[in-house]
Amino acid sequence: MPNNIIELHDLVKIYKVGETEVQALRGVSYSIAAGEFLAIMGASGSGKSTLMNILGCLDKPTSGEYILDGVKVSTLDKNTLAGIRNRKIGFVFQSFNLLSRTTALENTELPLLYSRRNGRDMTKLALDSLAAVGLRDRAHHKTNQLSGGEQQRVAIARALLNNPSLILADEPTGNLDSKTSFEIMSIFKKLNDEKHMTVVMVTHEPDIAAWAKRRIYLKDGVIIREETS
Amino acid sequence: MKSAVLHFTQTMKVALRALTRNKMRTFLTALGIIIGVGAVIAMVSIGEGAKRGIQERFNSMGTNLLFVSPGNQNVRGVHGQAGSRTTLKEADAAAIEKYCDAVAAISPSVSSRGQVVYGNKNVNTSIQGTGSQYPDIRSWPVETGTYFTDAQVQAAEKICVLGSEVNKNLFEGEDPIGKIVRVKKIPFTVVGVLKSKGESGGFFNRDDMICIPYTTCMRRIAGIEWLNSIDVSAVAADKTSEAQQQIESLLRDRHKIQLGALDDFTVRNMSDIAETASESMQIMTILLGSIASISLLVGGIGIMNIMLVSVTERIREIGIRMAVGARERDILLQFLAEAIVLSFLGGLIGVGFGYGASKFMGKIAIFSQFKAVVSLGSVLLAFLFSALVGVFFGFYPAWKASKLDPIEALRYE
Repeated sequence: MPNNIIELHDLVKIYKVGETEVQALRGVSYSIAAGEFLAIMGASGSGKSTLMNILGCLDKPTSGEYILDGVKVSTLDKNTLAGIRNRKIGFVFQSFNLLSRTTALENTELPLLYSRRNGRDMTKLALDSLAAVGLRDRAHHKTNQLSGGEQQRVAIARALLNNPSLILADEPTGNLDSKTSFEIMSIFKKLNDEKHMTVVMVTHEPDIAAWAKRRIYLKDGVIIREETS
Repeated sequence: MKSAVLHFTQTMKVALRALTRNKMRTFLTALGIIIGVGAVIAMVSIGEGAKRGIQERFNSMGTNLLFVSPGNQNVRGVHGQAGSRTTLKEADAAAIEKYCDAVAAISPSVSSRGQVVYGNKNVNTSIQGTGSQYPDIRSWPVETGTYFTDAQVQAAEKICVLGSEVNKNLFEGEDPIGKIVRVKKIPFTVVGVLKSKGESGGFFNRDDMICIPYTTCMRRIAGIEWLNSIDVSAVAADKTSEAQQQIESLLRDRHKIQLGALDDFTVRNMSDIAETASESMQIMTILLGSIASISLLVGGIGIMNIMLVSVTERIREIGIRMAVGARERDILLQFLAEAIVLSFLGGLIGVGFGYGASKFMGKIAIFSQFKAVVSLGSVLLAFLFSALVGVFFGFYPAWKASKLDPIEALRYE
């Protein structure tokens, strides 16, 4: 298994907005090794969201290569990408993105609905995942009965379910207060330290970025700086 | 195979869960289908009942019956004030009985209408002049008294047999046998009362009539020298075609009709008439069912409408599902399943509703003889149709949902 979980070669992304073309990414090359904790920073319009979408296989680059776990995913079709999202990537969003009127357990189980695996162990796997984020006893509470921090933890449990190659977090503490943010970031750190989970996080807050071991800065669609702590 | 079954039950569970999330909306949408299916079931079962009712009536009349009437008319129906043609004579009837061996019995028929008076009561009723074999041919026995004999018919005696309705109206429980009634001012002696046959089609009461010998009717009442028609019974039900052919060739011969020329009479076979009536009922049933199906169509449009709204409301949810790995096909099947479950449940309740409605309509007077029959075939067809409606009208919204871009969907407020 290659040491680099992610390799980016000269990624370019151009959007057409009406008549004009927007160059969101202008040639990004980078490598991310397994077990890393990386923060991607930049102002709005820097291209960090675009980069995140491409890393998450939700979007394809206009040109350039993206190799995930040894597979060149930049040229795959929509349906195959969906499968890759299911098996290899765990998302954590700023607004949690849980299904409403659904229990924590059912939310955590969601990825299994779309994987080809046998559904018999669904519940056990999901409960284990919830236990890993400390929410085992809240498994049957519905989304509206959970606090913001708890909802984000359910989202992390969902992301962990299929044992992904990488966790992608987009402003994970954006909707949380500082105390809860601390709890969430601690979970990420624990996952990275103890389970050697690769975590890639997009944020604009330096305090949050400080939790990561490495930081890259984007401006106008290129990486302008790299920092290691 | 097992995983396919598992996947199927899972999809159904997810669909049901989504539908129960907003029960009122689900119910209102399903209502369109419920009413549509219910209407179709009710209409078809009434039509089916009407058809069977008519078949039973015909069966009770005897299936080896034929009617000979004057004039060449291919008129649909059983018995009318037959044509104004004068081509059937008494001698024709006698000849038929004598020479056609597939014929069991004949009863010449001359009809009229007039006042029948007893004491201070009178009724305007149908006057049927018949032969002595009338009760046997028509499977219509007397309740009390006797019917005419051949001799009495020959002698054109002034005797009559009352229909049970006329008996009720004129005698009101009094024993009519031996009493004198005035038929068009002429005194007749009552010798019998016919058994009650009940209403036919709700339009006329078969018991509202009086029978007299046809000879008497010809000479005294109607004043004509020809017959209105001849009732014929064949020796057996499977001999009716043979009897028909024998009668036709005999009458062509007697009336000197050239080969290829039009007959001046018509022989109608009871089972042909029954079949024709049956076919008309069938057409009516199909027509009713088709009209009712329009409401099913409207129900389907309702489903498409609601599913489109539902998809728009759940754009975010679709984005989340795609983010965790749902493919286009998964999303399509999810929403299609919802539409199908919705329409199928609607169909299920609709069948119950239609069954109840047809039972209820059986209690209302006009429909009472059409004992609605809910056949298994129509139920299965209704299920199939409701499922198809779900697939057809649910497809477009489901397809729209599957084509959403995940990034846009996740951004949707």
